[in-house]
Amino acid sequence: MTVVTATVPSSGCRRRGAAASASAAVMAAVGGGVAPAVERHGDVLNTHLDLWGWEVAAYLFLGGLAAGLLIVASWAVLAGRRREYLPAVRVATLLVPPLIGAGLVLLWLDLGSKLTPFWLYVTLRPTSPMSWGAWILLAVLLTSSLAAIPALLAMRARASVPCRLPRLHRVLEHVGRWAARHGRWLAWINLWLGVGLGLYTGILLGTMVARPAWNSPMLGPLFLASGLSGAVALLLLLRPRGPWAPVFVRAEVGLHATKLALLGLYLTGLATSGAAPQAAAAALVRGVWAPAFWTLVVGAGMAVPLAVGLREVTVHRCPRRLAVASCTLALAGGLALRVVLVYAGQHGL
Amino acid sequence: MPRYGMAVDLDRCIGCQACAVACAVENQVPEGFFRRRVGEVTTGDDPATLRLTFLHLQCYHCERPPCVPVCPTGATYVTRDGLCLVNYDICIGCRACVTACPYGMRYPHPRGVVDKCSLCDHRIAAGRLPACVEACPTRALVFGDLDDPASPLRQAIAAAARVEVDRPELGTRPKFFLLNGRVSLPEARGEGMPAQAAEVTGR
Ligand code: SF4
Ligand code: SF4
Repeated sequence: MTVVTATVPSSGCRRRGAAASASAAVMAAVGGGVAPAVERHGDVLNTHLDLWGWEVAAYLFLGGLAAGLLIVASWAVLAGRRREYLPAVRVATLLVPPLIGAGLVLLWLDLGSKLTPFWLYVTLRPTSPMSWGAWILLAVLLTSSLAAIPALLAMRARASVPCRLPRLHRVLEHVGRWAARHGRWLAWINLWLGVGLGLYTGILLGTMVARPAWNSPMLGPLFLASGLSGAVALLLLLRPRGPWAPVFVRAEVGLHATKLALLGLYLTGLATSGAAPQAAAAALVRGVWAPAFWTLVVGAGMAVPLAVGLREVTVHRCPRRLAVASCTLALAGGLALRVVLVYAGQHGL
Repeated sequence: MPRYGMAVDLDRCIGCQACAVACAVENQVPEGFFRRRVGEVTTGDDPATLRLTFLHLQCYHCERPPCVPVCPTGATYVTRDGLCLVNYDICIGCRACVTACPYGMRYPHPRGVVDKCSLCDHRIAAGRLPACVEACPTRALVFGDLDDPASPLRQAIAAAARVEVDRPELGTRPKFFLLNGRVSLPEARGEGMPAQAAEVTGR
């Protein structure tokens, strides 16, 4: 056996210590108990920095959730169920713009240069997912706000508080009437923008050729399915009773099964590629990330809610507490999926 | 148009770090970061196989750099001389390029932008050599134009017994060449990968 040791004067980054020990653990896990005295090239470079941290993970989660809500709301309109599902559709429509706004704030928080983010919006670079993601977010913010105005006005009308900004109100009413008249068009646009946004949250990572744990065509569909499932879970939490509930519960079962299948395809894809993707898959399945991956991502986020949902579908009844727990777990699992993948992808070349 | 590149003759490199120091001073690299440094690698576990070699860690100015297309603002770009540079005025510090570089050659500058080796483009423009090349006491580092058969770089590559580039299987076509290495790069990194034949451009 060849023993390799490498020393490099002065580390490339302040945060290197923790990252290097994590990657050593990855190496040990991948090596199946044999921990050779190897410090890889990557360890002495900048590849193990947590360059993208919680901000990006949370941004991808909120973006996915907003995409899911937008898709559900637009689908209800297009399927002619807007009236029937109104309470659920209304929360979904109203939640999207603030979620997108929060996503934009997180994206901004992540930037190294806080004062010049406008450069994102004076260029459009089709080769850069970061660029078209920024543009999709802006477009979604616009169209989802348009769709939300009628709902907002309806809520305001019921609140019966005197209007302090009559001029703004008049403008909103004008725009709201226009949006209501073109509801179907807007729903079509929002549906496709929602699908684009949901896919983008995965593609941002998926196109990074240099990161074996990310470079998979499965991440886009997986994140889209996860965003949709998170959106349905959130709606079931906020508006649990109504004609939509049984439909949503069945949709959740399908979505959890889809997520499990896509996750399986993703891991199989890694495991059947070269040495680096195999190591990335091993780190997720039985390496440092395994505890979080199996309990939070697979267990809490997919398997447990799937079991609860299946029971509800077959027995036609579910204690409210169990339903709340299951929906909360599904949401937490969606966040965990992003966090684990964002961090796992940056460790190891 | 020249096509600039660099090479290191590993037979001559003594790991003294003079290049790393010269680079840090010339480019005012903040403390704790680097644009270029030299890693020391010992391989083998008995006197017969024991080898000392050096990893030269700096941007390779790839011909197909994965760091360029991911940049959302166009701040990372390739000049007509084949240098991969960062325009600090429009870099927003999103670090997409840092995650995209397969070699880990970029770092987030505390100023909020991303920085890396520029091959001392300011010195090249003034007709001088990059600071690291000038500082190297053993002349292990070679700089030159890959399109010019008479350039020191092309001559050094032509005279070398072994020419390697980092991870040629990625198709990035680095313009940084490792000459006369006794240990292949994957070996030096402790990877079980077979040594791949180097794809040498301009040879
Ligand atoms: S070494 Fe990295 S930073 Fe330099 S050109 Fe290649 S991909 Fe870009
Ligand atoms: S950090 Fe700067 S150079 Fe790198 S991708 Fe972002 S904007 Fe471009």
